[in-house]
Amino acid sequence: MPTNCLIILMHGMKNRSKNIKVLSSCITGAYHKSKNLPCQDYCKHIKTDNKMVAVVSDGAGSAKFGKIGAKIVCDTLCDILIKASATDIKQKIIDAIEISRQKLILHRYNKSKKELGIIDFAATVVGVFYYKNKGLFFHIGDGAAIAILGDDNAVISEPENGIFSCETYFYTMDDWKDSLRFTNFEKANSLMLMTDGVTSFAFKNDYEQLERGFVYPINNFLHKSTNQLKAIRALNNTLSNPKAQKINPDDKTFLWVGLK
Amino acid sequence: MENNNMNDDIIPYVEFADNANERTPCVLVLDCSGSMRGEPISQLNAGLSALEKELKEDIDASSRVQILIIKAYGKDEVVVSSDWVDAMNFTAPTMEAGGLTPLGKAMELALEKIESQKNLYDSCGVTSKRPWIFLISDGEPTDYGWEQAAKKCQIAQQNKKVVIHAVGTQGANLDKLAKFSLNSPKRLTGLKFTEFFLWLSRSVSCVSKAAPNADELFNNIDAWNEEQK
Repeated sequence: MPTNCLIILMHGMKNRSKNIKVLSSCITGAYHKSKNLPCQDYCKHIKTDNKMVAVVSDGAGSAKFGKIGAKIVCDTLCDILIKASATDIKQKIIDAIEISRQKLILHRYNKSKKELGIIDFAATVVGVFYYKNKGLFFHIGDGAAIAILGDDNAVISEPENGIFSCETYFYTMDDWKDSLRFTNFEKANSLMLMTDGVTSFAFKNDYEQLERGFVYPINNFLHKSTNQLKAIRALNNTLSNPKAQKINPDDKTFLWVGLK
Repeated sequence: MENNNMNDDIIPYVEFADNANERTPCVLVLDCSGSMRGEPISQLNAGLSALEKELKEDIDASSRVQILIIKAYGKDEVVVSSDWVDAMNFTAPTMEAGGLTPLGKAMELALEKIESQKNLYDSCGVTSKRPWIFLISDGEPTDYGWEQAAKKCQIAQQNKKVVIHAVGTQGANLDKLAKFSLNSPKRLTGLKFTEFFLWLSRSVSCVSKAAPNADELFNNIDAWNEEQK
């Protein structure tokens, strides 16, 4: 079992609201595993009976402290937004990301104590604010979010890359607001947030259609699961599958939300 | 009874489609001027054959890497010796040496070919990695206006449209080759073209797979690089 699963289980077990079920898995990719390096992804969620905030983030491999950047943005957004009302939520998300950036400016590893130094903490952001049957995805960079509304109906927040697929956007960039995208949805029965280690399995090449052979078996299994520990274990094992690791050696984070 | 064997728990019927059809374009601009006659051109051809074999044997790279080769030779002539082709279908051309070294023209052609290929990828919905150009020479550019071409190359790199690396053999003017790239030029030890192309194949393969160790491998050039003292 990947080392960071224990943390995820604790998040899941603390929050026992009946209408919202959250399960997640954060898997260290084949390369990091072989080098005994930690997973650069991070995810967190907090929920109440009718509200939920979840964020997954991929710390850039090229950034010295990408994992820290990923953790700070997940923690900060969840902690702030769970207390927020849905009114003017977009501005509240922008403000919360700005606070994450301020934390990085003051971080002890940012020797310059200036905005310039936060690029060393580069990380993407894929998040959701959900309240009473309505939701809003917020997204910077690659990774993706899916709201499944019915059998053949889904709302997707696609990955955003630069001119080339190896380039993406981070909340640590000066012009991060230009890369922040919002996508509304309502009446979803499941949500999925994922980092780029999983997107190629979840989507067809154009990112406009879901890869049904991946998305629906997982969705059905997790909806039916009654044992949370076992469900997360199965999700971990599925994403750690040697075939998946061979196709994509990147770290893999997948957060699933079942809604009633 | 509940199954507590962690490894037996897996979500059934999940399919892992390999949707990473993206391409990693790689252009080789080769100096085939008269000074390359004899052993140098033989070693260059041997290196290209090694590149073909190595790329074809790599299942991932063979379908993701695309190669184009431009030859600079003759009286300021530049030709595409091997047009864009997936590595699995790449056949190493046999190069012949003769004439001058129009590297400026050759690099301009490389930029044009990359631009048109990127447009083709976009129109087909194929994603791509940032293209690489490798400029390999045993001398220096001899064509009129090569400096302007070099400037265009630097601008293209600054705009993140391409990554350019210059490699010179013994006798190459590294100061002039450096004008084409924002990266410092490298010196090939002796005629170690085969070692160089094997390294190139492995590096481009890693980049095409987005392997996190790509940078590490890319910087490990001991097999062919003569360290500048």
